[in-house]
Amino acid sequence: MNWLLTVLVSLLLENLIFTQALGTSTLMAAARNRSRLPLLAALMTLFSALASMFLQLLYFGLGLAALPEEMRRLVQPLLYTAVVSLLYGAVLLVLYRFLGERSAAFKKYVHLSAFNCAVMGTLYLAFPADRDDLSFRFLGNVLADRHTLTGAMLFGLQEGLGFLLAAVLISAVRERLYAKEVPAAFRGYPAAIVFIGLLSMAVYSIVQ
Amino acid sequence: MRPGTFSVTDGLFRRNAVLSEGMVIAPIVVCCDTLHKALLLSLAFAVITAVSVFVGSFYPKKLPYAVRIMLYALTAAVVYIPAVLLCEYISPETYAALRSMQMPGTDLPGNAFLYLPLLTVNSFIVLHSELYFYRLRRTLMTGALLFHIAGSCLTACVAGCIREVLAYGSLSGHAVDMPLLLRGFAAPWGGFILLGVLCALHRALFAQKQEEA
Repeated sequence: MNWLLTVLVSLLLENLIFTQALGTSTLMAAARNRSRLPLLAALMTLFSALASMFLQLLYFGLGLAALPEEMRRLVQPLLYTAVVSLLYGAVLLVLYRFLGERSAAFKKYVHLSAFNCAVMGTLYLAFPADRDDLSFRFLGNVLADRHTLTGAMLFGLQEGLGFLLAAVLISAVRERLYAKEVPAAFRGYPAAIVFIGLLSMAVYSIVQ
Repeated sequence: MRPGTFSVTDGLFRRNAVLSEGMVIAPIVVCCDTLHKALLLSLAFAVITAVSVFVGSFYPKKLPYAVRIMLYALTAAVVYIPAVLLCEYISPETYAALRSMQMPGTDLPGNAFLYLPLLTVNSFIVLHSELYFYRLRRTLMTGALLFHIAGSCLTACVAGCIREVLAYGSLSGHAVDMPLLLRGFAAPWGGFILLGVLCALHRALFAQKQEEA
């Protein structure tokens, strides 16, 4: 029961959309088509988890944690982008290997789910430049030992599933946000942004 | 962004990337709680995006799409290094404020600084470069890109001004006589709500202009 509570709390309180606004642009793009949301969220979860694990290995394998803070701060984007690029290429190759020409239909989802603020933000949160210790918050700390591959994987999973939760909440009210009753100027995207703001306020009120 | 009905200046107001397309939301919502931070973020965004998209336009189209996307992101990550050093050189105090571990408007430990490196994967670079900018001739692309960047920076600065006045009772560090301070506007949720209102105002304004035309 405790671990279930931990999962639920972590998905809300550590939700990248509601607490850090990370991946909001991707969410807005994804929420336009409800049918593709699960696929996109699943791919983002995959990328977050795999990239976190990969970086965990790099951090300890290559001794990146020992680099001076300023150096880490400057090269972080290059390293993290290279990791996500490698995974992006690998996922595309795997899809092509198993689906052949049909994999072309998934390309744009793979692309959208790899290079975005939610996946990259997960890496910056897990492996901050200004601290020597890693920061697999909530799931990564509670359900696994710190600094382990499992911790990294759980942290990545948590952030990906948090995106799914946010996407489900937004798509659940999407029709109302686009309803005629909503003033024309607010209908759709502006109403969705305000709605995310209200959810964010609710989440922050719990956290504080 | 539809290349069909095109005007180079569209990105400044009519098709503002933030207000009408929902791009680059996160840095504005979280980091732009003061004008100084908005200006610094805008500078980093402008340098990273302009240079990366322009350099990316020279990559051969013969390369597979996936390889091109990786190259765009990696180029932005390289451009990030001089961009962030430039930011630190121009305004060391604001840069230090951005590096602080506090999420604005809350008592929570956070990492507001991560929004600077996250600019390297903004939608201009990894999505709309291929969908929009690279479909234009290079001279037009350069103009459109600069106006789109200017539009996004303008939105960030307007949001930064309003939030600083409402939440801190100051503008660019100078005290403004406010009867009441609304601290929530410095927090991410305040950023979301303000951005939603700005989007609605933008839409209402341009809907009215269209009707008049």
